[in-house]
Parts: sequence; C-alpha cells; structure tokens
Amino acid sequence: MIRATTGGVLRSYRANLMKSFISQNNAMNTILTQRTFNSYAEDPASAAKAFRLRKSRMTVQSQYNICTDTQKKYETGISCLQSIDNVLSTKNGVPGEYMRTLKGTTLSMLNDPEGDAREQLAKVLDQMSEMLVQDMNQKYGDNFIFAGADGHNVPFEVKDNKLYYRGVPVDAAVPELFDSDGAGTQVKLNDNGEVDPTGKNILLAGATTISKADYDAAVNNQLNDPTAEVPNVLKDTAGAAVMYTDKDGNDYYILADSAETMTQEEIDEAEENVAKLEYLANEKLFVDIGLGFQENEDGKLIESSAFNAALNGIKFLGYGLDADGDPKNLYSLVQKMKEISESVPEAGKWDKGTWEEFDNLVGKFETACSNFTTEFVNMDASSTKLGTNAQLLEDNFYNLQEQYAELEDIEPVEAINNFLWAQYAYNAALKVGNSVLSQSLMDYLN
Amino acid sequence: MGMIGTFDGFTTARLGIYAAQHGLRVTGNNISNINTTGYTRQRIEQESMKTGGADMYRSPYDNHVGNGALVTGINQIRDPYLDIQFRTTNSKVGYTDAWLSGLNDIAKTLDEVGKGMVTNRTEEGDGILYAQMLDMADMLRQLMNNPCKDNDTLVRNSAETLCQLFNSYGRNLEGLQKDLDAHFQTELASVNEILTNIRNLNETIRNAEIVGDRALELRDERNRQLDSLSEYMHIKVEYVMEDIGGGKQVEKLIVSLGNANPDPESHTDETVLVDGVYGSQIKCTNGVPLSNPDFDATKTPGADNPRFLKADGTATDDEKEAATLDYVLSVTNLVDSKNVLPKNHNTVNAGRPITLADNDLYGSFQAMRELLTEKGEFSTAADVAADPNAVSKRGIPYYQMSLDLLARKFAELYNSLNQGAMLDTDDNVIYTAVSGTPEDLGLKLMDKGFGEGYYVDEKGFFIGKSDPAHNPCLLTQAQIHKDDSLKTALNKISGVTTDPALKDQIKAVLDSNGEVLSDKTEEAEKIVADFLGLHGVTDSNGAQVEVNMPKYPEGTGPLFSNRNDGDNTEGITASNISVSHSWSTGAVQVVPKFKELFDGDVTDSTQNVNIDHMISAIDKSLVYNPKDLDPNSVSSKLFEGSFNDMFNNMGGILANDQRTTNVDLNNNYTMLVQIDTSRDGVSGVDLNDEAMNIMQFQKAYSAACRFMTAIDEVLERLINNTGIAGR
Repeated sequence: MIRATTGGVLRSYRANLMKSFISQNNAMNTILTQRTFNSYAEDPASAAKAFRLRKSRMTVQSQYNICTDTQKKYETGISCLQSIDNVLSTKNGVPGEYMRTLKGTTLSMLNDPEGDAREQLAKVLDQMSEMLVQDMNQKYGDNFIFAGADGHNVPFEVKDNKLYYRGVPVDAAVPELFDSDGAGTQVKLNDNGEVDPTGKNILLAGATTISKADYDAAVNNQLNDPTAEVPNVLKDTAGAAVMYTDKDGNDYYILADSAETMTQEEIDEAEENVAKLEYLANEKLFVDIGLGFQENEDGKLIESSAFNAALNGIKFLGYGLDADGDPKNLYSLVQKMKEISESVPEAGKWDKGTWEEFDNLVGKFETACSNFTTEFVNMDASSTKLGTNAQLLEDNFYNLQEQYAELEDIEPVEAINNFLWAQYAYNAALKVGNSVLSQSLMDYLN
Repeated sequence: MGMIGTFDGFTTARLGIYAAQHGLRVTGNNISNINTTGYTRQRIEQESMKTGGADMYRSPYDNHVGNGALVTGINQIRDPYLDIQFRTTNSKVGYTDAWLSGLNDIAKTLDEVGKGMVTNRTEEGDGILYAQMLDMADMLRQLMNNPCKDNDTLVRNSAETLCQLFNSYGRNLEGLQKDLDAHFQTELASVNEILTNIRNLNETIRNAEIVGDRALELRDERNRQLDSLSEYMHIKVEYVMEDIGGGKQVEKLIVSLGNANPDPESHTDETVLVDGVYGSQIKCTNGVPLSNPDFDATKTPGADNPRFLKADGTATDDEKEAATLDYVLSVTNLVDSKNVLPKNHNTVNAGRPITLADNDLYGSFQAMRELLTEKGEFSTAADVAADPNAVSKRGIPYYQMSLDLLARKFAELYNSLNQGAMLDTDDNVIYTAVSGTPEDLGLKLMDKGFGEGYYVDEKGFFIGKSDPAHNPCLLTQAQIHKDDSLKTALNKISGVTTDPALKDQIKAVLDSNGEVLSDKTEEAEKIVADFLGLHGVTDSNGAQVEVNMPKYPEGTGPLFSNRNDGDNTEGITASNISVSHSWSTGAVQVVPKFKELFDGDVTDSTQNVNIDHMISAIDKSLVYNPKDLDPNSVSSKLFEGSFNDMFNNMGGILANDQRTTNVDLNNNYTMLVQIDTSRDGVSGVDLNDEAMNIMQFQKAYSAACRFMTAIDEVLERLINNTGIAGR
C-alpha cells in the first residue's frame, strides 16, 4: 500500500473493532447460556451427536417408566400368589398347609364312618378353589394381572363348577378315538347306538372288546344253556353283531355297554379348545423395557429385544387332562377331590377304590402345586430381572446425560478465560483507536 | 537579449497566487469531503505558462523565462483495476451475505439446538419437534403397556401437538418465503432505480463534459451507484470514448452483466444494462414456460421442433404442458430518458428484451432468487434443464419439501400401521420400499392367502402379480391403478409391452382416435385383466381374486389426515398434517392388534402387537424419496434413516451450508475491506496529506505574494527612485 489514508485506516479499524466486539459478544453468550454451541451451525457434528444422545436419554426414560410399571405389576402379582404359594408349595421338605391337611385328612378318611372328615375336607377344598380363582383374578391398576393379553376382562370364571380361562374350559382335551383296524378306521354309531356309517356319533377309545372266539363261545353256550347270557356287542341297523378285525388279523366284537361316543362337532370343539389353551398358555405380550426393541426385515418383532410381560393364568394353574383323563388344573383337581369326598353317603365308609382314586388325585395335586411353584419362582425371577434392568436403565440415563453434557456444557474456567481475553482484546482495540486515530499532522499545525 | 516586459512579474506572481489559492480550495474541498461516501480525492493540475513561440531571428543569448503557473484542471485519482476488484468482490459479499441471511432465517425455525422446555419428560435443549416425535413414542409405549382409551387419548394429544408443530414450522417457512419474495420485489425496485440513476448520471455527465466540465462530483455519485449495483449482481464497467461530432469526443460508460454464468455457451450473462444515455430495467416474471434448449428458432415450431420442456424433462410444443419457472428475470430494451430506442446500436438488447438464464446473475439478487426457488434433491428434470447444478442448491423450497416429506412419511407409515394394509398373516409388517422393482413400488400382499408375488399400490389397490409370463418390470412401469380409465390402462400396457401380439390386440379394440370401441369394452377389459394376471387367479380357497380389494379392515382408519375436519390422507404436508377427524372424535383409535384370536372366540383386549410396530417405526430406517412428494423429482433418494434422523439431517445440511457460507462471507468481506482500503489508499482523503498540501499551498501563496512585493519594490525603485542621483 502506497498510501494509508484516514478513511482507509478508519474503515480497517472499524471492521476489526467489529470483529473484536463480535468475539467478545460470542464469548459472553457462551458464558450466559452455559453452552459450548448455541446453534447447529456452530458445531454441526457435536449438535447432531448431542441430539442423538438426548434421543437415547428420552427413550431410556420412557423405557424405564415401562420397566418399573411392569415390575410393579409383577410385584403385585407376586404378592397375590404369595398366599397360594405358602399353602401349596413344599419348602425345605415340609409340605404347605393345604398339602398337610390333604394328606392328613386322606388317611383319616379311611376310617371315617360318620363322614365328618370328608365333610370338613369338602369345605376346605371348596375354600381353596374359591381362593385360587379370586387370587388369579386380581388386578393391577385397571388390568387383570394373570389374564395374559386380555387384561381388560376377568380371566377365570366358574360355570357349573367348571373353570374357564378366557372363555375356554381349562380341562379341554382331544378325545382319543377308537381305531377299529389299527389303520385309523373309526366306528360310527347312530343315535340308537347302532353301527351306522352315516351315524354322527364316533366311538371313543377305551371301549371294551371281546374276541370272536369268546363271543362265539358265549353264543354256543347259550344254545346249550338258554339262561346263559351273550355279551351285548355293537350291532348294525339290521340287528346283526358287527365284527371287526384288528391289525393283527384277529376278529373281535365291541361291547355295547362300554361304548362312549362323541359327535364330530364335539371333537372339533375339543380340538379347538385344546389349541386355544395351548395358545393362551404361551401367549405373549411384549413391552419395550430397553432391551433393544427391534423388528426383523419382515417387520416381525425380534423377541429377544423385548420383554414378554404376559402372565398367563393357566400356565400357573395348569390345563388339560393327563393320560389318565384326570385334570392337570389345580382348581379342577380340587373340585374333583371335593366331588369324590362328597360322593360317598355321609355315614358310609370309603371303599378302597375311591380312597385310592382320591389319594391318586392328591398325588396329582402335588404335581400341579409343584408346577405352580415353578411358575411362581420364574415370575419372581422375572421381577428381579425387571428390577435389575430398571437399575441399568437408570445408570444408562445418567451416563447419557453426562455424555451430552460433556459435548454441550461449557468448561467454566475456559469460557471465562476466553471471555476475559476477548474483553481484553476489545478494550485494547478501543484504546488503540482512541490514541492513534485522534492524531494527525493537523494537530501539529500552528 | 530579448525584451523583458516591465510588468511580466506581476502576471507571474498573480498566477502563482491563483494556483496556490486553487490548491488551497481543492485541499479544503478534500478535507470537507473526507467523510463523504464515494468521494474521490481531487488534485489540481498545473502547467508552467510560457508566452511566445519560436522566433527565427532568435538570438542564442535570448533567454526565455516562463510566465508563471496555470491551473489547467482538477482531476480525480482513481485506480480502475481496484474498482473492478472491489465490484467483483462486492458481488461475492452480496451473494454470500444474502444467502447466509436466508439460511439464518430458515435456521430460526429448523435449528432446535438449545431449544425446548423442561417438562416431565424433556429437558431444556431436547429440541421441540425433535422431542415431540419421541414424546409420541413415549405415549405409544404407555399405550403398549396398557392399551386403553385413556392412553389412546394421551397418544392422540401428543400427536396433535406434533401436528401443530409441523404446521407451525411449515407456516414459518411459508411466511419466510413470502417475506423474502416481498424483499426481493423491493430490491428489484432498488436495482431498477440504480440503473435509472446511472443512466441519468451518464446523461448529465455527458452534457457537462460537452461544455468542458469534468463533473467530478457526479462521477463520484455514479461510482457510488455502481458500487451499490455490484452488490446485487456481478457487473462489468467499461469506459469508451464517444464521438459527438466536430472532432470532439466525450467519455461514455457501459455497464453490462459480468459473465457470471459458468456455461460458456451462455451470452445473456453479458447483457448490457446501461450504455451511455441508454438504460434498461430488470423485470421479474413468474410462471414462465421452460424453453427447450434444442429448439431451433430458424425453423417452424411444432411437434418436430418443440419449443418447451415438460417437468419430466421431455420436450413439448404445447405451452400448457410446459414446466414453468418462477422468478425469471429479463432485461428490457435499452432506451434513453425520453424512452427512445438507440439508433444503429450494436448491443444485444438494443432492439428486444433479453430473458436471462438461471445463472446469469451473481450477487445478492441471485442469492435471493436461489433462496426462493432452489429445491435441491427435489428438483425436477425441468429445473435441472434450467440449471445443471440445481440438485445441489438448497433454498427455502428444499427445506419446505424436506419437512413436507418427513410429515408425509410419518403420516403414511402410521396411517398404514393403523389400517393394517401392510401386515401379513403373521403380523409381519410390509414396509414401503423405494427403488425400481415391483416389490419396491407396490406393497407386497401376502395376506389373505395370496402368497408371494402379489402387489398393491400405495393406495392399497391391486397392481398385479409377478407372473413369469410377464416381465415384472413391465408391470411396474405400467402402474395401472384402479382409477385409471380403460383407455389409460390400455395405453400404459401398450407403452410397456414388447409383445407385438398384445399390441395388435390393443389396436383392435381402439378406434382411430385411440378411444375404446363401444362394442369392444369387454374385450378391452379382458386385455387389461389378462395383463395383470387376474383371470384365472384364485386364492387358496379357490375364490376369484377381486381387483378392487379393500385395503383396510373394518373399524380401522387413518390417524393423520390433511385437515382435522376430515379423514382425507391425500397430499399431506407439514403445513396441513392433522390428527384425523375420526381419531379426534374417537371413532378411530390406535389399533393395538388386527388379528382376532380364533375368529373372535377368545378376546385379547390388551394385546399390543400393532403398537409394537408403531414403536419400532419410530426408529425404523426409512428411505426418503423426493419422488414421493414430487414424482418429477430427478433424485430418488434424499436420506435414509428414522424420523428423528431425518429431522436431524435437515438441521445438519442447513448447518453445514451456514458454516460454509459464513466462512465464505468472512473471507469475502475481509477481502472487500482490504480492497476498499487499498482503493482508499489511492482515492481517499488523508488528513496528513491534506495538511501537507495546506502548508505547501499556503507557503506557495505567501511566496507568490512575496514575489509580487519584490517586483513592486523593484519597479518602485525603477520608476520613482531611478535617475535621481545627487538630489
């Protein structure tokens, strides 16, 4: 530059003074807002990262609320079931209260001609079944706890002394059909009990058979002795006994008195009820408690990324029938025991068979109790897991807060130092302007 | 020795006094104008005066002495190169300043850094719209935890707030667009005023110059006007000499556009704005049909030589079909102050107005135009034809459209999830994808036992199936919709099929005007149906597939619509997105699940599988395709990520543009200050300089006076005191 003019110097000074003032203003804003950047443009990378961290924090906060709420539901459920568990489960080899009562009573009933013990037992069993249903129908908030994914409706209902879970009889089982030839050929009967291919009643397994030889022998015997009885076997519509051949080629007849049948509709319904029970016992209800909650490419929730919060009542109480045709469900078992205890006249004695049946049911009841306890323990473990998870989420929450605070929040010492430096520079600029620009040759002219 | 005039000295002294006095006056004028914007320092021009000429009888001992100093003129001191540098840099400052100012205005709406209030769920700095999307996810989690009406209301309230924020942001950007438009029109008026001023100044200066006045102050004013103009646009300034007759020439100023367009083929970027006493004006027009660059003006316009381009980039000669451009600038004819056209003029726009190309300008004017028009990735083929770099320029429309696309995708996804169209039989969600296969353009329809390979369009209507007999791509290209007329459907098929037999079949059912023959309607319908693979297609139960298959199960409905008094989901944007009327009245709720357990025999009142999808959707990575908003967009991918990521991305793009522009602006401004200071170094007034001049001219004045006194004394001696010796 050949010449530095007054105007040029002033312009340059003005521009630089403005820069200095802007720097001071920015440094001041940093202190006032306590933030290292106040707009996206100041630090796009940090701003984007901070937003993502804040999003994670908000999500964690939301998941924490769900997690603690689910845990409270579990805790409420646990306290509901605790009383059942106390009286049912065997702890340290000592059976629970009911089990002791049952076992003690069972023995005493063998010698109970007046029926007092049986009467007492029936009352106890009735109370127990009532308690079971009541406890399993408890609510947390507005929702029934043990209703699986149907929290708005009462899960267990008793109709005609039968227990229903969400409208499905808990003792539903698919009946085994009579297989006449080992190849699955069913036996159909009409409403008159006659073998009829167009009949709607299908013979169930368990029907008693008689070999052709025995049957023929009985027929011959009657020829010789008219008072001798011929077994009543299934006959066709023409009145002729119907003979079947089993898979080994042996001919036989089916005794009519032992024949139990069901219609196809009844079988279908039973099958459907079994399918429903299977589904309801394993029904899932996922909630997001911060386990990753993600769907796969098909839009299907990855189950390990969510928490299954469904508490399926029948999973605790049991459902269906066992191989002996006895119920697996606690309530139904109790009811059956109650029925047996009531089935004998008040003053009568139990025969051995009835006692054995009752005792057998007690054994099955014990198994059902064990199943209940297992589920109860699982639930307790899940509740603990929820608690641990809530703690993790809480830790994560604070970690995330720290992370974005590190990005966004100022280091006070640095920020104040920067401001003081900017202020110093600005003051210096002002001083320079005041002392340099005021002087020119004009001031020295006489 | 020649004669010496007795009173010559007086003349010499007088001229010296004059010159010094002139110098002092000019110095005073300089000092007075030290703060006058655009003032150029002046200085006197002096010459030594010598009377007499060559003398053939001149004696070698005859010494001529000059007769003093003559002030021959007063000049300005300017460096034209610095003026060029200043004006070029000033246009850069103008551009970056206006661009940054516009971006900052957009950021006032979209930049949520440090924004957001403390609530039960949010902290200060969580953002506003950003946090509200997560708030809705939070409410959905609560609904998932307990699907009930109260929690549905919570989700709806959150969604309403979200919609209001979208509306507010959309309206802010619309308002910004309107404000900038008004500002642009004001600036346009200012530019035209400057152009008129320059033309008028040219005329006044010319007239002054003819009578010998240099009109320095008017030149200063003209320079000031040129400096102002250079902020608006890149200009080129030339000075040429104009013959005004009688052997006299005067200076003429020509101002033209500064060749800003990077396209070397473009010459409209050199259009003359002012040529001496002739000046033009700049006009702005909206809705101008886009010209076809291949149009041959020497031939007759027509189908073979189309004049226009459509939005998809194809040529047409039908003006109604042509894509239109807004903020198209043109330069009017050059006329003088009496509105008379120049005679025998060779400048381009001497005889007709010139329509400027998209990039012919630079400076703040261009920045404002780009802020008002540029759509970035949403640019159409027509936009790209007008500006090859359109896709990388992002003005207000880009951010508006990005926000619109975000709002639309959000609404579409949640509407779909609440209507069940995108769930298969296993409750798998079938999301919309976006590239070119049938699977991408149509939604796979695996529900209702149709199995793989059936597609519905985005409205849920059956498109067709991917039959090996047909090229799947053809189906996609055909894109036959339920609402298409038979004629349209046939035309679409004809346009994509390569099967000559099928083409013949189509021809056979159409008349010479391309309309479907009335007695061939059934046949035509069969052609379309066959093409789509409908005839003979049955579902797993052997039932005929229906074409107009309803998309939505009974009792469900959209959550979001384009007005809160209806359920219309067409054309949802950020400005109009609303909670649907049905949702707001409770007729529709967030659907927790679609599948009925065992045909409704078993209830599952708190099953939430569909809410699972909705929560996952918050983090679902989606492709944001500009074509979803404007089918004519040239780009097919704007961004891929979640809703929050998309909003964050908008902030990031804006922020990076702000940062880059800010750096440019600072650099350009610093350069401008340096150039201006340099220019001031040449043309500016300096007090030290002027103090020296004062002293110099003052001394010269005193010396000249002293000289006059000396001459006076000498003559006094000669006249009154000579020859009186001895008296």
